[in-house]
Amino acid sequence: MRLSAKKQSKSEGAKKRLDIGNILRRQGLLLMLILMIIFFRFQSPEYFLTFDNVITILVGATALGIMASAQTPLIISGGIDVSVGSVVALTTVMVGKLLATGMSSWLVVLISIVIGTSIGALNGFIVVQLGVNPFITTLGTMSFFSGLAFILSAGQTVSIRDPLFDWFLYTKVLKVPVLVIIVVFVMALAYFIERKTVVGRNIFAIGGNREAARLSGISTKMLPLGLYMVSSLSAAVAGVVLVSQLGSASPQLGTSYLLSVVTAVILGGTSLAGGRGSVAGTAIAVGILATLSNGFAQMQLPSYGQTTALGAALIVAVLVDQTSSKMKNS
Amino acid sequence: MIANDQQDRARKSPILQLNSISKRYGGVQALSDVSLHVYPGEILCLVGENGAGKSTLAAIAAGLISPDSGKIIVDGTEVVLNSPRAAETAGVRLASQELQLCPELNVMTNVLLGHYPCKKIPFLVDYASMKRKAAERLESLGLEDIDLLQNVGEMPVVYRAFVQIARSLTPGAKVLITDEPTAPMSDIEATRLLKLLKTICDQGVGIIFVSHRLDEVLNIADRVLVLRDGKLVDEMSKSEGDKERIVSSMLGHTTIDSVKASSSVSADSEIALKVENLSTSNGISETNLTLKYGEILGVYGIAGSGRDSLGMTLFGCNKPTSGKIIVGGSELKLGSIKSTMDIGIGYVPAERRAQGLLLERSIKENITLAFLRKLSKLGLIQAKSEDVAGQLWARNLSIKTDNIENTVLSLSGGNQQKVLLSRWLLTGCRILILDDPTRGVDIGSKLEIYELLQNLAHNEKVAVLVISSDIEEVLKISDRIEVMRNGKITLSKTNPTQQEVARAAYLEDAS
Repeated sequence: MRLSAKKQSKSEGAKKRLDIGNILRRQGLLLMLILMIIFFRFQSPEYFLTFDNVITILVGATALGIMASAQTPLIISGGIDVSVGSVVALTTVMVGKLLATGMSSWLVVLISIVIGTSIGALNGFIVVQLGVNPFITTLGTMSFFSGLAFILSAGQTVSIRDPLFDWFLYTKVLKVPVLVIIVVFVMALAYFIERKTVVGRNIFAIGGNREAARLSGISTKMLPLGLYMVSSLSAAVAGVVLVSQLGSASPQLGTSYLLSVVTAVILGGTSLAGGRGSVAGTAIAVGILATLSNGFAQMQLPSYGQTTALGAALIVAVLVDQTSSKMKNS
Repeated sequence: MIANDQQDRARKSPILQLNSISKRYGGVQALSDVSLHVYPGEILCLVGENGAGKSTLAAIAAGLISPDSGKIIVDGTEVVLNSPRAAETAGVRLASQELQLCPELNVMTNVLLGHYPCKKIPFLVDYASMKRKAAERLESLGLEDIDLLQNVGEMPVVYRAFVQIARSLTPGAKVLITDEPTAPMSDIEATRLLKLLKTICDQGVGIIFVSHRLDEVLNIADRVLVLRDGKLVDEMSKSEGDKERIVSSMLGHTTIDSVKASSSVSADSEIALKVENLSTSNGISETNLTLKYGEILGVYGIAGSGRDSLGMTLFGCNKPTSGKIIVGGSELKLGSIKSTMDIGIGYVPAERRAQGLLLERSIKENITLAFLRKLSKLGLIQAKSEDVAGQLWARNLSIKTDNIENTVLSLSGGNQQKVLLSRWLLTGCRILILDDPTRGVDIGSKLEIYELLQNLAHNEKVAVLVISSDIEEVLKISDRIEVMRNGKITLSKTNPTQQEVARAAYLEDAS
């Protein structure tokens, strides 16, 4: 008994420290973003903080933001999906191919999104039903579908001119592009589901203790399956967004998203072990990545430098995360 | 015969002596003033109820735990066994309860784990000599039939235990301690293991054998020591040993008042749950059971008796191979947790942390986990209803916390268990199955939980099924008791005595 009482007081003390750690981590991320903005503001005083540039940054973050919003709950539930990049590639290639047949552009978008989502169903089936490790599964489907995208397109980039995609790109509501509105909406929706709904709570339960969730009557199969489908759906939508932004479809489009989506989620404080995380953190992390990319471009630094800075930031973020969970467990 | 034994022993001196060992864990005196000695070539069996101190004693002898006081003498020299390494140097070897092998490595690598022979160039393993050494080791134990190159993970459990023992018997072994090696084994497998132990003791090694199975203890032991509540209460030589004496020593002569407030269950109480000829692949065979509303039915059994599978199976965690579960006159869909919950059955699992709690989440979230759907509208959690439910049940069960938003990790074991109980009470289930509801719970919370269960059954008329590894608990709270052994019910009785329960759990086989 004395033992457990000791443990109790210990973990209470640790909890207080953890709360500070938690705040530090989340606010630390925000601090990182603010410092970065200040830094680039002085590097490029007359342009960086203009309305136009802020919008440019946000538009640049659209595809990543949509995919990271869907990846976050998946990782919280104990899964992971590294195949999103290949879904982006396949979706854009499909869009290019189908538009070339003269099909209505609405139908093209719909079909591409359905195909993208079905890849998520495949991922989910393999992971949930066949019990294959999620990283291995999505690594496999990533390779498979990015290869397929290259085969379908013969490696060619197709330029796309279509009123629907132009509408996506150029429509503004109160000077704010519709793309920005979409990504903000998606993130807000993900945050709402995470915080306020039974589904959100069950995602944390499954990621935190799958057996406890199962023994409390929570379906530990349907929900993860759904999360894989949502993840692929987000990638398909991101593919459509990218086509409209770039005005072209290429099987290489997805490659840059291979790991950046997972990176954003982890940088945002979501635990790879599952059970812990938040879309709010992910949103800040996406902001950091987008700002970094924009700032580097304006300073005319090579994009490799960006990758290096990103890698360093990720390691630091994960170290902070592990230290705080060690503090809690000690 | 006895005289012979004693003469024989007098010639040898003990290879291992533990003198006046005491060990305290918090408020629990795990061992008090226990002394024992083992002679070379002798098999000493340690028996006792759960929590009697057997495993602690074995761990102290193996250097895993340091005693608070007492002396350890190996081969005439006093030693301090403050680490497994120290114990190994002294010649004391432990083949522990959980097999500690690398399942992906083959037999010879496991046997010589950490002691690989090297070639002249360092870091290069000499596989030829490794194979030879491993083969020699196995041969000396009469285990030539084990394939040196097979992966350990692919072998049946008894062979894994053999490999574990072979591995622990590095050169210089004087004493081998095995802690419940036969628990996961069938009788035939256990017999093979006992034969192996005989072989080892014939080579002059002293063996301390911890077991729950009295048959095998009497079969193999040269001497039997009985522990109860951390004290040595009986010692008998092979010729003196009999099961009745062991059981009565294990239990002591403390009369537990099995007299309870007269149970309110009359013969015509409505049947809540009826199990007919239930068999599973995980250790239950042809079991029949009836649970009535308003009663606490206690199910007692030792580890491996099938008692834990029973709870899991009734809750739909796994699909039985045959049999029926009837609730409220209709057959329950088997192997489905959802339909089991829908019909009003709740289940508090045995492993609080592994199977029950979301440790990093709040007390409130842990309480409402199984009922969240009902506390929501269109999938949206009604924050107010959830708060009210959490507050209410935290208060009803007097869960000690200043804020139900604190993580459940901040609670003591007893309060964590109350959180799990409230999770199911909140659902309003009419049938509640609990597996070891007071495991690792302090005595105060224990009594609170008992009171709660009794109130639940006798006043609220809930059907309560308590599965337990604690014989006193079962006797104390149950209106009726079923005892399981080898997957079968061996006793079904209202107010049995402790002796009857113990006999049925340890000795009798269902006819």
